[in-house]
Amino acid sequence: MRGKIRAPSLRKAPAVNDLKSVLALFLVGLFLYQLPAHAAQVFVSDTVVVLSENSRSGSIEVSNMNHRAQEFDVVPISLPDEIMKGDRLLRWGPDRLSVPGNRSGSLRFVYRPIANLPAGEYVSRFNVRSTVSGEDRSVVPGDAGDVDKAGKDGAGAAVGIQVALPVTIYIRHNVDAPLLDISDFIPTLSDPRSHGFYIVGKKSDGVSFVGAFAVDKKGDGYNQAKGRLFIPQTKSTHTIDVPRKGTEGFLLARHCLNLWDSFPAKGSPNQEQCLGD
Amino acid sequence: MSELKKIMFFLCGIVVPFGTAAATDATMEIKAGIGTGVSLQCEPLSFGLTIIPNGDLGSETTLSLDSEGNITGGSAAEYSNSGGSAGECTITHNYGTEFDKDKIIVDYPTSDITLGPSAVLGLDAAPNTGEADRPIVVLDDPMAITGTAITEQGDNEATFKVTGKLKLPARAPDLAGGWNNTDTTVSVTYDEP
Repeated sequence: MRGKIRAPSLRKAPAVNDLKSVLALFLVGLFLYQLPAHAAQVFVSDTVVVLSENSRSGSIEVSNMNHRAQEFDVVPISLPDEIMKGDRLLRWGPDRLSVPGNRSGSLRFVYRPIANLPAGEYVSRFNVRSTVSGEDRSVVPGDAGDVDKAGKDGAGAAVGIQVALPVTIYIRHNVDAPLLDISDFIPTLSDPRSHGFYIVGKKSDGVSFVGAFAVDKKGDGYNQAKGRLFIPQTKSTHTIDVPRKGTEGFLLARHCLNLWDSFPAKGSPNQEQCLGD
Repeated sequence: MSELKKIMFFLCGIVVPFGTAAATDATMEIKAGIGTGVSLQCEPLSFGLTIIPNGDLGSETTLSLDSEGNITGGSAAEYSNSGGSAGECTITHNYGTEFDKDKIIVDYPTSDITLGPSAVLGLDAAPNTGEADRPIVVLDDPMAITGTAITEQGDNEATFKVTGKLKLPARAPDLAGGWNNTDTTVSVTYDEP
């Protein structure tokens, strides 16, 4: 049974027990006061990895931002039937990372094509979860004493929170990243926080899009907006907002939306749409 | 810059001096960036210290911990509490895009929660059984985690608080310590179906 601490019974004179009671209260209070020092944390460098024939392995960095060592579990949440059946379509490791303070560890994923596998995108989901260390589980010393039944009885309790972040692995087997349809720029003249937005939609269903976008004022190379563009398998469209900063004038003309089908962006954009030519 | 961001900056170590300066030009431009990624950090939640002067609450009592750390429930005349603290969680998200708190999904999967009978807390184990005869139970209650109250703290940071409920037996266990030997899992998804 977890969570049970049995204190040895110490039958002593009432005055001693009163002292024990005060000491126990102090220690419990001190223990509970100190709890916030043991915050659980997890940091992952990315939550999505795309593997394909051309890129059969990938990794994410799991970082420990505490000063002391931290362990992380890698827990499969859902796996394709091809993995569940025993076909090793995807290998990953390690299952458990021990990361020293202020360091990072790598979690690797490797795709191995198997014979007669139908073309498509295969999705595996994992949780990277911090474990609660022995130090977190420590409680006040169990010899705090058995207090006088007529005196002060009570209890203190705390619950450690394990934190988990999802990591999704997409295996693209004989399918390409989808091209996107790009809407016209839709200005939002009444919104002081936004210039407007684009709506992008996948031209083919059943495959995710993991890439990057940048909105540049044409010619000056200044990124008005940029970042990762992720459209999961189950979604077909995504809105790209172009934020308006401070007292900027409205972005009504002369800008381009560039799209890459990888993240981080590499090389020239795969798609570009410019306004104001 | 928050402490978390400083650490992310340190970890990623992306400090790139560049530019060729003329000998007479004693300037150097330095660009720095923060690596991409997502982080989640949660403080433990604490129910504080509950003192029952008479050692008997009269009946089984459920105490609730709210987001401000207040403990309520039962008859306040029967006990006093030092005040707890909700488990505050912080999410950071850095993919270059603006952080939209409405796209954060806090998951509290029942199957992952290690509460319930195996997480009975208490003292005075019954002889030869190893079971607590007067257990303290952290309730397995989906409403105990308030995942909807997410507060946006900036372009790439948001917070929420985890609250909870604690069930005390009618007769309090002897005071001998505090317990944190039970865990619950909170996961956060951003912009996923």
